[in-house]
Amino acid sequence: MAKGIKDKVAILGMGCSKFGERWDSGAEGLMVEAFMECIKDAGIDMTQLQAAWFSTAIDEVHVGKSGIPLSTTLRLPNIPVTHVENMCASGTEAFRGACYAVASGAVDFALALGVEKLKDTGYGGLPGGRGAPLQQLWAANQTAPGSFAQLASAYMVRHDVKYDDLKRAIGHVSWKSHQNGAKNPKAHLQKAVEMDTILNAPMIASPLRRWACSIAAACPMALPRPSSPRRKSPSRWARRT
Amino acid sequence: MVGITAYGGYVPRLRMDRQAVYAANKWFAPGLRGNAKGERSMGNWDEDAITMAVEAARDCLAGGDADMDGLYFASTTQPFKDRQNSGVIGTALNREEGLAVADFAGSQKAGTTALIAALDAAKAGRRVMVAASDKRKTRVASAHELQFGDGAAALMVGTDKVIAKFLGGYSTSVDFVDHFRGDESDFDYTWEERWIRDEGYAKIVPPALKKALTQLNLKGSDIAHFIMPSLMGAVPKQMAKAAGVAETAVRDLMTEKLGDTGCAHALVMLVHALEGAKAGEKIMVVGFGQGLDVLVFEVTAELAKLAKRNGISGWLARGKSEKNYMKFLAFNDMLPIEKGMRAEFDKKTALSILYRNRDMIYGLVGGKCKVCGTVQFPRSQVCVNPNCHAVDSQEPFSFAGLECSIMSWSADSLTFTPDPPAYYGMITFPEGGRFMADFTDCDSEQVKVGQKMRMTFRIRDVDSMRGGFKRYFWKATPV
Repeated sequence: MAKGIKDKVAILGMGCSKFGERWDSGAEGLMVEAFMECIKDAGIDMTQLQAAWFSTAIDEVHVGKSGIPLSTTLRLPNIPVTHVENMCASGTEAFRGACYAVASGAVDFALALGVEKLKDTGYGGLPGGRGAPLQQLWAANQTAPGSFAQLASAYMVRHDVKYDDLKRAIGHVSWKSHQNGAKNPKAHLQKAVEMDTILNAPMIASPLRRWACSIAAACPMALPRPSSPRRKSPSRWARRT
Repeated sequence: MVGITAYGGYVPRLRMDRQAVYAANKWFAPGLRGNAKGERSMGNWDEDAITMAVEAARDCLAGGDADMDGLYFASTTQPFKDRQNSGVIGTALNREEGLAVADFAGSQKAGTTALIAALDAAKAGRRVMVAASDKRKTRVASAHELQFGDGAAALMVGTDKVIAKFLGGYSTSVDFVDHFRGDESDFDYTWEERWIRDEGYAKIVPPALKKALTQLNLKGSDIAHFIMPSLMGAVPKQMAKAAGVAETAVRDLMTEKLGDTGCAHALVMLVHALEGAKAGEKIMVVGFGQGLDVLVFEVTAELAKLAKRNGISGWLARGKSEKNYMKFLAFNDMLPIEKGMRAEFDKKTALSILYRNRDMIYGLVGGKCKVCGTVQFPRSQVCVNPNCHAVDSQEPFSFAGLECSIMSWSADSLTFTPDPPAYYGMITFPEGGRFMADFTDCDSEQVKVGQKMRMTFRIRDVDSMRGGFKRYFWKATPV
């Protein structure tokens, strides 16, 4: 009978790179930046790591395939590295894998690291291309903003929402996000964006405008550990299975 | 009785305003003023001779199955030099097994020549469709730019329920080079009009018309519809007169709204004539191009019983005037427009994958589960119905002729498309099945949730890195 991983794993330390276009850095630099913060926060030695999960979604524009980019970049101590990809959920996929490894008792310390360095393509927005060779023959000419925009156009009709109200609601989410982001020293944009700017921004994929679309590269990471790490707050315990 | 049993037509939605073309070019070519009237049809960026022929063929079938033994395709702008273009059309019509296909090309009379070949096949008991289509490129500020149009026609030929009985005809070959398009050029090179008229038309056509009439024991005055495409508006009347055909019988060249559709034009005009022809009327069709074909038909009572279709008139009626000459140039690849890096993505087609899935990609064939009856697209090995999930249970199910409606949509300005923004969205079929599809031939006010759409066979990508391999698939367009 499965019991899940509740109360079996804790996050020992966390690190996060600064978000942004990061013309100064490759994916490798972001990985080192986040890892150094994380390992210091965790208070363990790198040689204690026994397994790692490494996630990317669009690795063809930065690190490429396999677990090797993580091993070589951090000079990991000859431990297994699993490379996972699950689009925007890739990071949580790496975290889940590391949690399972610790919860199963296979290892004491595991590393989960996700990285995406998207701004070395020469053009704005998420890197393009139309996926698998069969999909290329029939999938719509769609982008990420255009895919999410589908929800808005259908929602508006399904719930009889007026376009101006929808526009303002979507704008408000952006406004709130940028207000919060401006308080985070690691956020890409350090200045909040005004509502008027948001509402009058260029359309990317209707009804989504410029400030409603993602723009930055990220690099969060975590370290799970079994037993009861008393020195960490309970909020860092993995609760879900 | 051998003859035509059905007809269909197609004219692209966009109509280039000739005055707008002239306004842009008159600084350089003021002599074009005489041609600067009316509109010419203009294929969308995702249309070519094959896609237009598919539409004409579907119109000819009027929603029915492609019940035929042969498919002949005439065009001087075949998208492929070596690949069976007619076969692409057949596969798009979901018809391959036992289908005899052939491509006709190389002359402005290719359309009538294909029709003669089909009539010959019909004499042997076969049922053959002829599709003719042209989308010719023209030089900037040329007369051809104003004179030509894009369009297609299709005729079914056989012996059952003949709407226009083939009485006979006459063909001859004369290497009279009024124009040519060499292997190294996309454009026609034309000799002087007066020479073409006096040494060409005037000397080659009248004797051939008289021979055809004599053979059939007919007089010129017996002809009710005289069809003869020509870039010189007065020529058909002169030829008719020389053969004793009444001037009132000479069919309009459709210059005002359409333009000359190349080797398809004789058949386009024939389809247009059949739309209003009456039983007993005789139609003479002349295809001129390094010689000529003359064909004479007699309309039967079956014509009035033919199922409704768009024909040329129906498609002509749904036009949208285009005054943006730059768009015309860009759509015809006549402008080195800045497309941006998103246009650089490799369009290489895995031919083995295309082949395995060609009924899906070219025929828009999905599946219907034999166990639970669920209709789905694409057809997959495991049924999509969560209460079924039967394996290998699906029979082919064609979506091409079905109406669907928009569930969700976006107008995407980020992705590359030759005609931004890119409209696409989830479409759903009342029979079952839904997928995210590109939209085409639509204006912003037409794209809304609930809008009824039909499917149309179009170009989605052109692989310029490998000689221009075209990727075709189906798009949704407002009904």
